[in-house]
Amino acid sequence: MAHCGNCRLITAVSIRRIILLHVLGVGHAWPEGRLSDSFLDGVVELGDSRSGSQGIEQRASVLSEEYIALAKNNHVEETEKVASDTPTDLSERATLQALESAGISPEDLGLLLAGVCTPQQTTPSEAQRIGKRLAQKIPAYDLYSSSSDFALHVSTLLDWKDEKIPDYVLSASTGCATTRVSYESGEAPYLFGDGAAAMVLSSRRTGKLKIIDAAFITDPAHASLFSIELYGHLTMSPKALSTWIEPTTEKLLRKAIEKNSLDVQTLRWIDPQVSLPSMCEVASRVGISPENHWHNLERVGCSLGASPVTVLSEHWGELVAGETIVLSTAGPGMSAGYIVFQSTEG
Amino acid sequence: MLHILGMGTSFPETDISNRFIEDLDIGTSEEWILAKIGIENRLSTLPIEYVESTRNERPQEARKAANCTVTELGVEAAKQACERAGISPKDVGLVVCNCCTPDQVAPSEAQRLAKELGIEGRAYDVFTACPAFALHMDFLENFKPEALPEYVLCVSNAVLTQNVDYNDRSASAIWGDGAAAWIVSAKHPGKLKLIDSFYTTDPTRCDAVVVDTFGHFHQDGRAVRDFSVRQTVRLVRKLEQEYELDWSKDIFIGHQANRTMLAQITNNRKIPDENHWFNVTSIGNQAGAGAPATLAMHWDEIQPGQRILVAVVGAGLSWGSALLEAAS
Repeated sequence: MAHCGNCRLITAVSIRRIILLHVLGVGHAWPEGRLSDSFLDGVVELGDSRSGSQGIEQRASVLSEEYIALAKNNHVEETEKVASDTPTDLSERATLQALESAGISPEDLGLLLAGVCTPQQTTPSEAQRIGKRLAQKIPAYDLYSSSSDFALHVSTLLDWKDEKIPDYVLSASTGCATTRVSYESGEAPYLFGDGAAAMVLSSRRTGKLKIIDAAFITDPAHASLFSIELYGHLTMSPKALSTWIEPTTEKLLRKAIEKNSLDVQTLRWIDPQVSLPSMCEVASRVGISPENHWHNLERVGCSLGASPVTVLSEHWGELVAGETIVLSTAGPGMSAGYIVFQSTEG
Repeated sequence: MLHILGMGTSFPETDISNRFIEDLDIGTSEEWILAKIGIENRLSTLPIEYVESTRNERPQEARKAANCTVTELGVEAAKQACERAGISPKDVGLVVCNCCTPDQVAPSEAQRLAKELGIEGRAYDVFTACPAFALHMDFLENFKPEALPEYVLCVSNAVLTQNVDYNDRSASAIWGDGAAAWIVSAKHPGKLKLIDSFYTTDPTRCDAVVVDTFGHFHQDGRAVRDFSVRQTVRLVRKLEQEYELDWSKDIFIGHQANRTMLAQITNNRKIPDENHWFNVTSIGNQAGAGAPATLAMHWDEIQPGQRILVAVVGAGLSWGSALLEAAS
């Protein structure tokens, strides 16, 4: 396995006391459009070997096949006119679902935290745009690290003084990465999809999931491995997966297991949703069985920050008390993290 | 207890004068601008020839034409803040950044800054546009002190002249570019300590100030101006009462939106000119960088025991304050 400079960062993950932060509800949203392998094969120029699919069969996209076939998304500003949804449309739908599953109304929220990797406006913040959709007058701002937004939000709240955490906090992440993909060539067309996810968190009320640990790290020295230009396309180094995302995900997963004395035979694992073959190898090396490895990458593609929580949201109805779930995040920044959940009777 | 150990600024070099804006022939004049908003000059990352010839009709072109990037401004401000704090960037354990005009939407601006500065700690964006100083101080104040690293670098940088339509006489006259940075510590005492912080928003009015990703800045000017004056006066009045501020020695710094708006606030609260610090007249509105940059520019003038109230408002709509006290 390749090694990189982030190893020392992982050892520096802060150890915090256990605080009772609960997930009361989760939600997710995808656009209706799907981009299939067969469609992309007809549009994207393939290299010597096609290695970009990462186990993905179709991707959720706000862009139509007609637009992509015609324009290949060479001019990203055109997506504003043709996209079926904005990132905020998706985050609003995810948020409303999360609120419904939490059994609370928007008026109950005390803080909105959000992240967006493809904003339709650089001002105001995504959290404020969500707040407007909810018609709420409460503190709202972006806490943003792209693919690790949820790990960042949760680990931040765990580091706060108890009295500073409102009764109900909304944590949301959204993005329409396909609007920043060039469909001319390369692996990116096969990897990325669009989506949003949201969680309602509380330190006052018991929820279906209790958060027992979280971590968030960044490795800015490797920031150039993955970028999205404000006015341009997404670029991801071919080495990003093998030299950073895969080893960092594995190290943090092992850290979560060791630190929290988790039973690897029974824990459920939600990977960062970047590559199915790569993450299946991680699961295998760590000892997580295929049935306990949860993913949806193959059906909707990688929507960066939202992806792992869309998986959690899909499994929300089937959680039974006593289960332990580790949700991993990794991607641009470079940043990564994890959240350890335990399902309760709540 | 949070302390500010050092502050820094960075500005670009292009002057955009009132005469230049008048000469664009967009229905405004030097006298009108001065009378209406009190701004004499702006600093921009754009070459003056570019502004004159294109009016920045396509902000996408501005990024290519600019003399420096928003990240470069942030890096320079951060270096000065570190120097004043007597630390190396390598000592920084957390970078938080507020940038409303990033060159990339991923990674975060904080991560780009950290990369350029060689910082190995955590980095992420904490973003609300104009009231960044209040948000960052209030955000950090929420942490258990032991959860913060020894040194936190806060940066607010913006190059909004790159999103101005220079056929729009209002926007042309408002904006400048700049960056401010400050080093915060919960473990080491510094020149300023945080006494009080506050931040909140009214997202129902978030459409009042907008920077479209593929377009220009636009706002509901009258509504924003009324809101800004009213909220700032409320913030100042509340803290005056709570902390018995003495405007014969304490200092007020408001959001650097424009000079006449600031005058309305200081007139209302009877704050004398010598206790009101501002930089908007010579640099323009630098969004979230304006207020902390003003404080950083006066860093060496801060008197022992002096209290400094930074009350800021802006996009979101959001507003907040930070009350600081200089070490005796």
